[in-house]
Amino acid sequence: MKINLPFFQFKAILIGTLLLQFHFGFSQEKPNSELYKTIMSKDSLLFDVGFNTCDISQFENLFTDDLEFYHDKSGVSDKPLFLTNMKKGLCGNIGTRQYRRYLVPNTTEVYPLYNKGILYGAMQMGIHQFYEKSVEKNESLANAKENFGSTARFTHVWLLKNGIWKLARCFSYDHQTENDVKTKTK
Amino acid sequence: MTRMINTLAFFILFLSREAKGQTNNDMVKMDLLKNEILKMDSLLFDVAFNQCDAALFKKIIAEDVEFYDDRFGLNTSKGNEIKSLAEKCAGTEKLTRKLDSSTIDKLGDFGAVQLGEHTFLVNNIPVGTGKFIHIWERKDENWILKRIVSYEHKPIKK
Repeated sequence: MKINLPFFQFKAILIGTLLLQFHFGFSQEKPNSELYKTIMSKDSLLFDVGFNTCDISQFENLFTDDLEFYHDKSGVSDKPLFLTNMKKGLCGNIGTRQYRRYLVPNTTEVYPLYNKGILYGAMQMGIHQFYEKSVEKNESLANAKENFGSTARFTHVWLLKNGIWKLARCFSYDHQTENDVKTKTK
Repeated sequence: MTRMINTLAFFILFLSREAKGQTNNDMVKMDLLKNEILKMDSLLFDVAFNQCDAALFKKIIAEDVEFYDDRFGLNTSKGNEIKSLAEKCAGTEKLTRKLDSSTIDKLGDFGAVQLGEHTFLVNNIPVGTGKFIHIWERKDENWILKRIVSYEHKPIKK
């Protein structure tokens, strides 16, 4: 725990200094804020392009090299393992099987992470759903019926490294197989 | 024919009992997990943090801990965390933390994720609230705190 500095802040707040009260107020970003929009554009690259079209290079570019991906069903993976699983698993049958991630509207929350006043990262939380479709005999992927897969909550820790946003830590949990955005947590 | 229906009925009954047993078993497992994590939360904060038990604190925090704070940056040094606790405990005011609520989910065989809200108090007077994410890793029979994200710190309005 980082205690020394907050401790002095708590003290200062007890005295009631306005300045330090202000220092406390790093709350949720509004959807029209610069940071919110930046994170959403990265989210879109990662999922709308990377995940939904199996453009693995998006993952390679957007992940930090020391990525940690924590999943409630499968445990932990690092960047090489995650990329291998994508290539062989979800993207292993391009043309006959397709997965789609759908970000549930109005569920995304973005929180800034500061280091003594300097923005160094952001935390993104939300609910997303996964759909899949496979081609039947003599059917094209475009005509295949899409089926619901699962709903899950996620938390992503993005870090600003040399001016570039990279995804460093992913927590994906509370996977439900019922088509219902009301996941149990929250 | 009757015999066939009986056999079928038996199988259906058997299958549904099996399915129910599975669900109950999962629920029991989740309850166990939740209790274990809540116990760890209590050990970490009610005992180690609030009562300044540095040895226990050291035992619970992972060697490669990462602490993402929304005001003071990223700390990746366990030594710094221990130092912070020592400084907090050397102060004249009593800083304590109270858990307000949390949800717990499992993370495969690795461990569990705990999301929650807590209140910090100075000399038993609430001064601020915050939200947190804790990634707990199961190591043999023990739990260690591996990743911490601490965010949305707010003062309590007087």
